[in-house]
Amino acid sequence: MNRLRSSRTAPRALACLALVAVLCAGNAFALDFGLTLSNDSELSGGGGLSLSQSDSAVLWLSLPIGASSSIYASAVYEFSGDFTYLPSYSDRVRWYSITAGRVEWEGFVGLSESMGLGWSVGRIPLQDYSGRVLNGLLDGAVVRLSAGQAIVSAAVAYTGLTFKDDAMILIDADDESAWSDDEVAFAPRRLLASLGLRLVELVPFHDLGLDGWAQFDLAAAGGTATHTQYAEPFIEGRVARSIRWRLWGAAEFGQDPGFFYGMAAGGRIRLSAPELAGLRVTASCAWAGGDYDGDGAMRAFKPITTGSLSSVAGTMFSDALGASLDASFVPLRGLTIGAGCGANFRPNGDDSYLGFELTGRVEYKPASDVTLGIEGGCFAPNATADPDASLEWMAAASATLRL
Amino acid sequence: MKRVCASLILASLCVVAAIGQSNDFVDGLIASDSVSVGQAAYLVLVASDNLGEDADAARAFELLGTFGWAPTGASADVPILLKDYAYLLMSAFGLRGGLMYALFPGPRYAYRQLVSSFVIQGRSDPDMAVSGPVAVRMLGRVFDVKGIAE
Repeated sequence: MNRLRSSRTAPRALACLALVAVLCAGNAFALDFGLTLSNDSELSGGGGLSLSQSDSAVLWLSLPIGASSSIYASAVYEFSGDFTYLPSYSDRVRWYSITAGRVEWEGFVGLSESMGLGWSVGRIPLQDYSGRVLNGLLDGAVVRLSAGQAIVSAAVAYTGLTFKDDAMILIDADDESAWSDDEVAFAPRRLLASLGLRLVELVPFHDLGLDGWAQFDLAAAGGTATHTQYAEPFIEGRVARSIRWRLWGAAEFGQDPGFFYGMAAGGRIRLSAPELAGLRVTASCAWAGGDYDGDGAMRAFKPITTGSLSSVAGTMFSDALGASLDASFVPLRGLTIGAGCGANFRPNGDDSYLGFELTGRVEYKPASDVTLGIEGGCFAPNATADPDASLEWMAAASATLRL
Repeated sequence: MKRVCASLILASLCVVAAIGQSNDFVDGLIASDSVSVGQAAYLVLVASDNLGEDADAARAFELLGTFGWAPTGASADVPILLKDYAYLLMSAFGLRGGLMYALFPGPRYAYRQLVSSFVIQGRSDPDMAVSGPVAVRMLGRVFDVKGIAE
């Protein structure tokens, strides 16, 4: 599969760079470029012991197109390997993959004193308000029109050109079978569309909005087409100088071809005190509904891109509830220390408590182009619900150098 | 727009007060769409106490050459590029750059450093010309950065 990924993607990445190079020709003297080198190593244990290693080099360039827009393009080389040492040795190494990273033409033009139009086209970061329904780098376009206190946005995207382990789309059984098939390199083919509205400070110090997302399954003949739509109202704002909060909900509607629906919600409150060594304390909660009505139309909530509720246990954001508390501070310039804890639940299960997680992290930026980080954590599962489960732990180190 | 003008005037007054340059020079600079190498040299070298206020742009450019901070092949009256202005600011104020700037000090990594420390804001590229207001605002932000660093 590794060779398959690389050979299929390299021409596409080269074509993207060639296109950008042609565009650069007219702006050769305004070009900025660089190389970002990263290393991520993660040692994890519990039932066994394994090491996950990833090294990447991102070659990027940026150039202005006129006064109001610019192009950014990047190509990514990555080595990755998973090495399992216990209970027995095995490894899975991908010596190289070359693909397009963020490739974006973005711009903004003012239409009048109070109106502006912004756009972004290419392989761009896309996410819904909460980041729980959709979050990833996808091929598409976004347009944002701001008029007075209102910001209207619309987006379309296609998922079939993204690697499946980057896109993480696991909506139906076809997706899961493609996920476990080593011959399949790319994400399921789906067309995404969205419409969003944000009303800025309609209520003093608060924004209100509604995000709508839809995904249309372009499954090949023989597969089951599962279409889903999401409506996500939200509110965010501040109640004091240093306290910000947000609340959101998401209703999922689907057809496969029978109708089904799911629910999700979340909230967060954050205290920021820059005068106290940059102290930041965040309490958050996220819930993804389960199949609470048996044979009825309600099903476990399925986001477009799958995410996790916690960093050590990896509890999927579907039929799950997570509550967490996180704190970080900056004792010295460039040094950030943080710690967090959280509990995960499955409200629909016989024993709803899944376990408790503790994490800690240190990030140090000795210079503006160097970032070093270490992170560790453990997850204590509920032994009553699963007597065979053991304590899971992870320790990770990362380094980034921007040339 | 009024807010932008007000903040620009305020920034200019702060810079003038901080660096003690003549109002005529700063007025001319703010009206300029592209600052020349000589003007930039005068502005920055006076502000960083490397040059007396009674000197002029030609003397400032000459001193730039002496220090080795002059853009390659530039003359005093050509527009200065953003990366060269960034290098001038970094050098004149002795600002600490990133690892790459420490290894290879020059306009490329000076530009990167000032982007990462928010001295350069908004849509920019290293080879763009520097307008007078932008030059003054950047100088004001360098004073802030230097204040934080010290």
